[in-house]
Amino acid sequence: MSKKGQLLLLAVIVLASAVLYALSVLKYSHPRAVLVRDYIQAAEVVQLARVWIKYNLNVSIINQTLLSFYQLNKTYHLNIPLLTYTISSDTLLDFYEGYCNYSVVFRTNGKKYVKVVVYYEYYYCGSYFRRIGAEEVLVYNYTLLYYHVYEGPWGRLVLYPQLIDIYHNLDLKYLGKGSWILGVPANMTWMLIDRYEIPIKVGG
Amino acid sequence: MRGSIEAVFIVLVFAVYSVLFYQIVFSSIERDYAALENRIFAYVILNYYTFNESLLLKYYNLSNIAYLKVVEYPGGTISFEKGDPGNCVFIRFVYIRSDSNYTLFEIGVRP
Repeated sequence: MSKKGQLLLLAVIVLASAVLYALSVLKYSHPRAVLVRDYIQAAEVVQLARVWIKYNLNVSIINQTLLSFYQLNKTYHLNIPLLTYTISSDTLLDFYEGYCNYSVVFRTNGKKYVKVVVYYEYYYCGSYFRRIGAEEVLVYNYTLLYYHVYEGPWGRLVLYPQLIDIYHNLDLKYLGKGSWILGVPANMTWMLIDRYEIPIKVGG
Repeated sequence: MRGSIEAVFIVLVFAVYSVLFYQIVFSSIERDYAALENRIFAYVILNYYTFNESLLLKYYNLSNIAYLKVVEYPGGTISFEKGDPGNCVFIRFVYIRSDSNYTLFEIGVRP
C-alpha cells in the first residue's frame, strides 16, 4: 500500500472511531427501562374481579369500581388494556347441600385476558352438641370445598384461600386442598369470609 | 507478501468496527434494557389482601428493585417506603378494594 493509501486508511479508522464514540454517547446518555404489559396488569384485574364477587356481582359496585379503575389507569399509567367483561353466578344454598359459583371473564381485543372463578360447595354430614359458655348448643356439621381459579398470562392458578371466622363461634378445621370441616351453631349469628373478604354462606 | 498483511489488517479493522457498530447501534432487550420486575409483585397481589411491613420488606429484598413505596388511599398515607428513588424509572400498580379505597404500589428500577 502506498503512503497515500496508508494515510487514507488511518483517516478512515480515526473517522470511524469518532463516529462510534459519538453514537455511543448519544445512545447511552439516558437510562432506559421497558414498561411491559405483563403479569402485574392481569393481577390487578383479578383483584378487581374479587372486589366484584365480594359484593355479590352488584351492578352498581361493578360500574363504580370499573370507572375508578380506568381513572387510576389513566392517572398512574397502569398500562391496563381496554377490557370487556362477562359475569355469571350460579348459586344453590340448601340446608343439606349447596354450591356457589362466581365467574368473571375479562377480554381484550376479543381474546380472553383474565378469568376469575370463585367456587364453593358444602354437604351436611351430621350434628353434635357443643358447650358454649353455660349452654349446650346444637352444631350442624358440614364439609366445605372452597377455591379460587385465576386464568391469565401466567396460565391457570388454583388458590385455596384461608377462611376467617369473624365472630369466632364456628368450628373450623382445614383438611388441605381447599377442604374444610365446618361446625355451624344453630340459632347463632356467624359470618365466614375468605382472606379477600368474600363471604361464604353455608346451610341455606 | 506485504500486500497480504495489509489486506488482513484492513479486514480485521473492518470486522472490529462492524461489531462495535452493531453493539452500539442495534438494541437488544436483554442487553440494553432493564425490565421492571413485576412478576414477583403480581404474586403478592394474587396471594395477599393486606400488606404489612415485614411482607413488603421480604418481597423488596427478593426482587431486584431500587425503590418501593406503598401508599394507602383515600388519605395518601405512606405505609411503606424503602430505597432511593433517584434516577429510577417507575412502574405503578394498584390494589383496588372499592371505588375510593385502594393501595398504590410504586416500584423504581435503575437501568
